Amino acid sequence: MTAAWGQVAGIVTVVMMLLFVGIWIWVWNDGHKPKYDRLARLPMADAEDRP
Amino acid sequence: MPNTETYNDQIVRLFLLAAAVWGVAGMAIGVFVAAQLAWPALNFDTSWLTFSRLRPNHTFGVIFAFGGSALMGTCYYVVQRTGHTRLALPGLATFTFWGWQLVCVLAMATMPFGITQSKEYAEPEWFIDILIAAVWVSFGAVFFATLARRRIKHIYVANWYYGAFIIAVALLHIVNNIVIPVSLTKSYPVYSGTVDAMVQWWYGHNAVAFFLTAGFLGMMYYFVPRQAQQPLWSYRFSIVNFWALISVYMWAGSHHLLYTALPDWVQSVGMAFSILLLMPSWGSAANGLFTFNGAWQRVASDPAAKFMVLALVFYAAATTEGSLMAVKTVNSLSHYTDWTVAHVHSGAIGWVAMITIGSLYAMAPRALGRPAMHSKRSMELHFWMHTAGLILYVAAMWTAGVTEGLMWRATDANGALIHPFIDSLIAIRPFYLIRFLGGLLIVGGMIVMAWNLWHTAADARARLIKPIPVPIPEPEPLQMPAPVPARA
Amino acid sequence: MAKGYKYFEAVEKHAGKLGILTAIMVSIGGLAEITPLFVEAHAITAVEGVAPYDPLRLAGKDIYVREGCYTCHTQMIRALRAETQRYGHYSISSESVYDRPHQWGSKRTGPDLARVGGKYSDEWQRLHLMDPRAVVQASNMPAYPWLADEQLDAADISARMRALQRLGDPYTAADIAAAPAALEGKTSLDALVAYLQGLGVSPATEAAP
Repeated sequence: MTAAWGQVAGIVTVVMMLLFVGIWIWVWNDGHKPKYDRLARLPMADAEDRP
Repeated sequence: MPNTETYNDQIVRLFLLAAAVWGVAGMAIGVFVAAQLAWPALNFDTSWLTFSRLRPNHTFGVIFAFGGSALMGTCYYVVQRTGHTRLALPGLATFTFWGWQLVCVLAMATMPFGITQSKEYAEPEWFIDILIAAVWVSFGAVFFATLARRRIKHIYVANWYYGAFIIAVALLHIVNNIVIPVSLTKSYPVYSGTVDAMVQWWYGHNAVAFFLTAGFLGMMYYFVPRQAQQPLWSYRFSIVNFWALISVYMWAGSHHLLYTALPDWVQSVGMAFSILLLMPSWGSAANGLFTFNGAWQRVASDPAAKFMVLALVFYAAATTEGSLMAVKTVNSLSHYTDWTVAHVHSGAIGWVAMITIGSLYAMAPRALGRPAMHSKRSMELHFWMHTAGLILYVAAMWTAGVTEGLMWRATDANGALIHPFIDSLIAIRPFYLIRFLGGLLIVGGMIVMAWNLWHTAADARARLIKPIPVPIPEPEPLQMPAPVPARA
Repeated sequence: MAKGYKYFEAVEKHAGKLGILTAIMVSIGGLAEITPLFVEAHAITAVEGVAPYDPLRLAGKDIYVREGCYTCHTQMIRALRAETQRYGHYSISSESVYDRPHQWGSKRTGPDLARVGGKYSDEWQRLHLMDPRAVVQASNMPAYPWLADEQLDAADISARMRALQRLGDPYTAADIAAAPAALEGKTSLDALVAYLQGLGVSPATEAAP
């Protein structure tokens, strides 16, 4: 592995880690809770289940 | 407004039938090749019945024919239900069914006659590969076109997994199968040696990641909450797990090549990412299992839910074992032995087959217009046959693998090897027998399932069932029943 | 936060964006690991001492591939003491540079074959392929008796060598022209034995560190 490639790999790793943490913070934001609660129930709200 | 749109369940029923047939066929071939390892006379000195020619038929038959049909069928079912819309491009969807069945028949009919690339898990020759690519792109088109016309604004997480499965498998399949044809029946890959090995295991590992994991997680994220009759334990956790899983898995392929001629840095990267994989793997397993929290009584009385719970337990176990085996010191013992076979099958028979069977049992009555499966007792029977077979299989192969690994490296006081190779084969013979018995139980269970599905499909065969209308308009979120209080 | 909300929500609500982002994320890992190998692959081919397969061995290698020998035999001796003791010098990259596809394998139901060349006589190899239990009583290897009855296809070998030449294997026009004659009167069994007897006998590892 060349040195330049090592630099790229390092930067990509850091960016991906930041992205990961970002997604985590993002998703745990309380503003999304009602939406996610609704979505979590989606598989149970099938057409056949309604009278 | 009169509701005229109905779900397209006809295509789902076709895939359901195909999955049942290929499941029995693929696993029966597996039992036969397992018997050949115990009793070599079963090769009958006949070229197309020989182990080395038939083994790809088992792996292709189970992974791509059985798994593929189940994935495509459930994918079409789930994307319609979670989008409140009818499947788009019905003609193309029908093509994906017949095209995929043609792929499977062609592959299974050519490989035993020596028409093979001999790239593990990508054996079919170039002309079949082109057909696979065509079917796959059509599958993607139907899926994304259906998503585009959905009536539910948000894309449910099961579809994220199905989408990643479709995109990644297309990418893997095409890159791994770039060859120069010499004739209709022979081709040479453009890659050779070390590069070919890396491409092959990047493909092989990620076929596990995206075909055998992401696809079946899509299945899990829809059918587990359905069967538990409870909302998904944590929707937001499923999002984090999704991005982590798809970005980490692709790096880990080189753990199949530890201590080989592959450059060291690639091996180390593969090992590191394999350990990171524990996070999204456990995350998904936990999310599925916790969804059953508070519904354990229902699980006790519902064989389909039992299959799902055990599938999730084996998913957690097999991914833990996989990360462990990617650690160099463990790999030096486990690699090339039957431990690998044990690991693959605890993933395949434990996770993949059980989540599929559970989902098929959950989906079949609805797709076939019946209130429940024909026989609940035979579902129970299937569960216990499958579980017993799985435990026999995995325990036997794990013991065999550790035995081989230890015997291959055993040295005496002078540092000389103690065992000639053949000793290890003699030592594991009994385990090959036990593995064969385990396999028999599993195939027996699949036949019970096929019988049960056949009877459940009686109304569908007689064309007595009515298509199910799509709910229109989309129920406003505010009119939905108040969400259940968040569970601790 | 409401502003940022829009951006990620775009992914959750749009199939196209979700698909594209997924494709990017899954590509990174593969690109990172495979691209440098492609770059290095040129360096690997430069190693001397490994010649491309002669016609008979090439035919033999293709039979090894056709029969699926990789399902039970590896051709990759790992850099571990127990393996080098049993099978010889660990395998190096330049040894498999003409293997399309590679035959490193993943499972040893039978022993590694990377350096099996010359370990047994031609006659032993023949007998063993025709009836493994005649020479190794406890073996569970299948017999391959049909190999002895198959005449090699002399016309086909030129096409194969031309395809490999196109992929960069250093065959000359003269090599290809002479190929059909080399297969005259030979069976698949002859070819496979020639291939096996050539495995690992090249001097590549003598120059290796």
